[in-house]
Amino acid sequence: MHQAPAQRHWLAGQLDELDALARDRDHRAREASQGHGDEAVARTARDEFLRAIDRFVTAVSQREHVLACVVGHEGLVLATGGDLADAETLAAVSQVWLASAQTGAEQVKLGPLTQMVVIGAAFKVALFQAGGMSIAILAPTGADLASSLAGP
Amino acid sequence: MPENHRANADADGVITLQNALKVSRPELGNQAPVALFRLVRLVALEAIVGRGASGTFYVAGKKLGESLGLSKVDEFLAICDQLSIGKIEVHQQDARHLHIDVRECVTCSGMSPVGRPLCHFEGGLIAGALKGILGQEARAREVSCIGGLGDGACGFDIDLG
Repeated sequence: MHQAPAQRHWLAGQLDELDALARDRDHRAREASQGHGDEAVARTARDEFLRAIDRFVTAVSQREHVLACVVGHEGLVLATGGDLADAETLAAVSQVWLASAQTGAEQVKLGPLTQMVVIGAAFKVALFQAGGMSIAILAPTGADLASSLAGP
Repeated sequence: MPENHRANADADGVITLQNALKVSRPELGNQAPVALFRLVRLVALEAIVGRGASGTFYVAGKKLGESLGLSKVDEFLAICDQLSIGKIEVHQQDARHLHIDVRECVTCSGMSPVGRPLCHFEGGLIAGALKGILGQEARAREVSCIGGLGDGACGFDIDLG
């Protein structure tokens, strides 16, 4: 019996794409620094990666229920989308949350941390990791964020 | 704690800026080696908080910068001079962009480059002070670093508004 192909989860696909671009950027940068690659190619890969992050935060922040999306590296803001007064603090706190959770996850052998959700009375933050970056998505507590980020 | 000391302590164990800046060392004075500051700032804190703490340092610096309660950029430059944070040069690019260079940076000047910028706390401090002074949002991004990247100055691009 013929089965329709399973639909790819939208956000998972986006994160995989960022991961792949980050790996390519790192690979090109390593080659250039070791004298095996072209500096211009490494720069192009880095620029493409940064453009993809900008597209990502814009696309995520336009999904239903999403208030804002912040991408950070080492707790510093790389890109923001949506409506958020203090993206810098969210990026910093997200990094602390993820690092702390990663430590706990290792102790109870969960495997590498892929996502977590911090839920407050008014708002919640869904956290992901991709390509060495932390990704924070802010939504009202009662919102069905999983569905908002699933479909095409 | 003796009663007269307790009366001067901050409420709820919070250490205020004013309290931290009270120094009474009759024989040793109020100066300490840069090395001590760096051991705490770069080695001990990073060992505890980890490499991913750049944003935490930045936000902490920004809150401190805002809390200084300054009204003029010259006051901030005077504090930097008084505390020997570094030799500060401010370059106005346009109404919404500044570039600030810190030479002889207290945090990193003289170090062998480690391959990443280090002075996120200082970037936050500058952004916070400017936010307080100008009354508008300020964000700092470290684009060069003496001890981190081998540059001639620790440079910060500032976006205002």
